[in-house]
Amino acid sequence: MGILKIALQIIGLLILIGMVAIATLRFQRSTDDGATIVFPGGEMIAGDLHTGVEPNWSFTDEIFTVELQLNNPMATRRIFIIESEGKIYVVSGYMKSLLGRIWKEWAFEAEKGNNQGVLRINDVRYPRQLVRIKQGDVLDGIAAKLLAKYGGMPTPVSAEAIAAERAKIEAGTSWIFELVPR
Amino acid sequence: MKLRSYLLLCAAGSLLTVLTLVLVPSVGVTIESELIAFLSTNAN
Repeated sequence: MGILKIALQIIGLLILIGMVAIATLRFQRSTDDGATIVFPGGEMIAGDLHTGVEPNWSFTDEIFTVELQLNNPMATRRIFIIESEGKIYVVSGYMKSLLGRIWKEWAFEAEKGNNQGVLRINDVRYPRQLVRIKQGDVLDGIAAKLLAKYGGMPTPVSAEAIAAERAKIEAGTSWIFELVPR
Repeated sequence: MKLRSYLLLCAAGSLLTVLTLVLVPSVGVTIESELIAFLSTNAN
């Protein structure tokens, strides 16, 4: 009985320390200019605001993650970016799992209507609106790029792999948002 | 361990955790790296 009590006390202490660590990191990051992959950051202030014509987004092929701010509530995330046929998209995976729902709350916010934001790449801020793409042939190009860029698949990506990835997107396991200028 | 001692230990552990994360940024970076690895593996 004594050993069980001590074991439970140790487990309780470890859980408490873990929760305190996560809460501390989340609070620390919440006021940063920008974000990390796990914890949302605060408002993005640094960087020039882009105006004028859209750039050739193919340069994002060399960029692993970008920062995306949603305006209401104000918070910034660091996420994957994909360019396909001249347009840019962000990806939110793990959307059907409990951990994913906690981790990717920004995607649910965007889906609910909090879809006005700012994208920051290479210290340039681009005002954007997020529009979720649930189906359509455009997903083939996005799926191919996603598999090649983040899945490590050799190009050209096979039609079977593209179809499987597209099915995951259409089933809602991964959510894709187009970043439309606003 | 008596309840009072245990609660003191919990408070001290929490305080030490906060101070470590505030004063040693590399600890926070390491924890985040571990969290990313954990989430990438277990969030499916």
